[in-house]
Amino acid sequence: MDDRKHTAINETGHHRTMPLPDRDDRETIRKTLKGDQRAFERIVLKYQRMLYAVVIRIVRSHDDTDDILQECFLRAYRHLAEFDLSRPLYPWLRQIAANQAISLLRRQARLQPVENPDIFPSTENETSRYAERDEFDQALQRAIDTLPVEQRTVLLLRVHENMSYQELSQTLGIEIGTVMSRLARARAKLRNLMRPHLAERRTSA
Amino acid sequence: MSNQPKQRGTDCGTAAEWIHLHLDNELDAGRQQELQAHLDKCPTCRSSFEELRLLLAAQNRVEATFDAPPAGYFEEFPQRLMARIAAEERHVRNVPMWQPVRLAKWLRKMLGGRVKYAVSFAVAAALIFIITRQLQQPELSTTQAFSEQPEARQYAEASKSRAELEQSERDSLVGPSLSHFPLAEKIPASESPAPLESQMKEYFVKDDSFNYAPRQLDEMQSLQLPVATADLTPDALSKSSAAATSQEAAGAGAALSAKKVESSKASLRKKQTAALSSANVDETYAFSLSMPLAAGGEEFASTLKLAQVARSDSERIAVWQKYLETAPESSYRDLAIGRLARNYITAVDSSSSTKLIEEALLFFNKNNGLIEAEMGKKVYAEEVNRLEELLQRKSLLEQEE
Repeated sequence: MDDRKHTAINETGHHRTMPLPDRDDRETIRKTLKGDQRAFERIVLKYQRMLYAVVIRIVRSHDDTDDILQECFLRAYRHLAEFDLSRPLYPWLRQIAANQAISLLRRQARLQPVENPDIFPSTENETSRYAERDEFDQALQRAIDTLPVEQRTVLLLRVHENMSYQELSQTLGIEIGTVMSRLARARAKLRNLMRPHLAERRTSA
Repeated sequence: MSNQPKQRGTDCGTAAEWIHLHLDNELDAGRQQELQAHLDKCPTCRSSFEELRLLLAAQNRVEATFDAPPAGYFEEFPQRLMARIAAEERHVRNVPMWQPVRLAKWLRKMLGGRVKYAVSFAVAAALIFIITRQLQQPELSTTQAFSEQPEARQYAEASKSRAELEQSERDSLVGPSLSHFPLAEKIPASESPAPLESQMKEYFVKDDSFNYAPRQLDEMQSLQLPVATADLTPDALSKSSAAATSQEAAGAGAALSAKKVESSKASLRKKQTAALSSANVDETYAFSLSMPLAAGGEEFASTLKLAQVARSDSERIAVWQKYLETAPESSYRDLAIGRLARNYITAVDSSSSTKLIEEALLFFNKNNGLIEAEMGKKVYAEEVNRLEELLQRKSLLEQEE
């Protein structure tokens, strides 16, 4: 199989690339550990957008994403000395961020009553970007939003970050079997929720 | 159909599973063919596959965009973050003298830096305890001096949510399987001595606002206190842990952990199996180290632990070299070789030692088969070239001198 880590073309022709190799990062980390605080900013600048993209898709709120990003970089900074320089930096940051996102959603879920998964959440808050998409995609987005946290996160990381089962297992700290079952359940659920739309699309194809 | 010979054939349950793997590019070529064969025959599965594929394509479309953050967000975010970091650093330096952290730093200086940070911390905490008890001043009693018994018990007994937060922070940093070692909380002291620093870490409250709350490893980083260069062997560590840990805290910590150790053992073993069967060196981070699977597992486990607490590349290299010398028959040998190879690479980056480069090159050549397998032929070749170039450059310089 090709080297999935760097570029991969998945089922739908979507490309993913990892950022530049890590020699750069190692230098920056070393400088930071030697006491050059500002060197760390290089890392923030390099990865902030990628991490933002990952987190926003999971938590879907800008303010929450902002909190999580800050916390993620802060933790990375505090624990920089423990980081083994022979590992790539981005997966580590992503892991921190993803787990933060999951914790946040779990905390929030405890405070709110459980939603009936058969009813799509109201679309009042959604802005015009949704309106530009066709109805199928809009419905899918809403359906994804109703997935339970764990399923949604695995699905999003799998597709958006193009992570392998092994990477997902490591990043989220779950068995590979769990990764597979969460993906399967998430997709089954989506398929169920999208049943009418799918029927329509197939008859019109 | 009925006069066809009965084939091994895939059933729908398996096909359903394989469809997901196929969509995720995780299905090997042989099985792909079998799946295709089944889909050709089975309309139910075929329609399932079509729909899932459609949904995947749609999801990719949907995810191609997301709500852009407010204008200028990515310009001001780094500034905000760096300001927070600067504030945190300043705060630590301004911690008043009578807090154990400051006192410990001062003590350590007085004692000439030969004492381990954690020992001086314990002494400092004890001193403050004595002083506060003697003076009985109300202001001082509000300090979070670790030695205050009720507070120590409170921290050590860690309300469930706090323990969860701690665990989740550790998990988020290194993944839960790794975080199960080498902390005193998870592994009873008798099995394997945890490094003292991480033991101490257990008993301090992580306070993410800027109120004073000792954070061991962070304090050490920001105060730039080096870990003692003394022996990091398990013997030496256990001696110093015995010397400086408070009984009370250790007792409470162990009680917390006993249950968790049991349940985690089974799942850890599974993870270890998965990691072992993978060729990727990074999988070592998924290792469970409380249940060695094969010969040499225990040594590998403690070596990985030592490598983790090592504070410099040369320490890590020494750790792995020692392992390879003492465990020639180990089933974990190739993983260790991979680790050592990577540590050589990072060490050479920051060191100007010719000897190191030579040593690294020798190591790479001697173990070329295994290292190539670990990091891939291309990366291996690149790294070896780089080492050779560096060496050439160095010897030219030396000739000129």
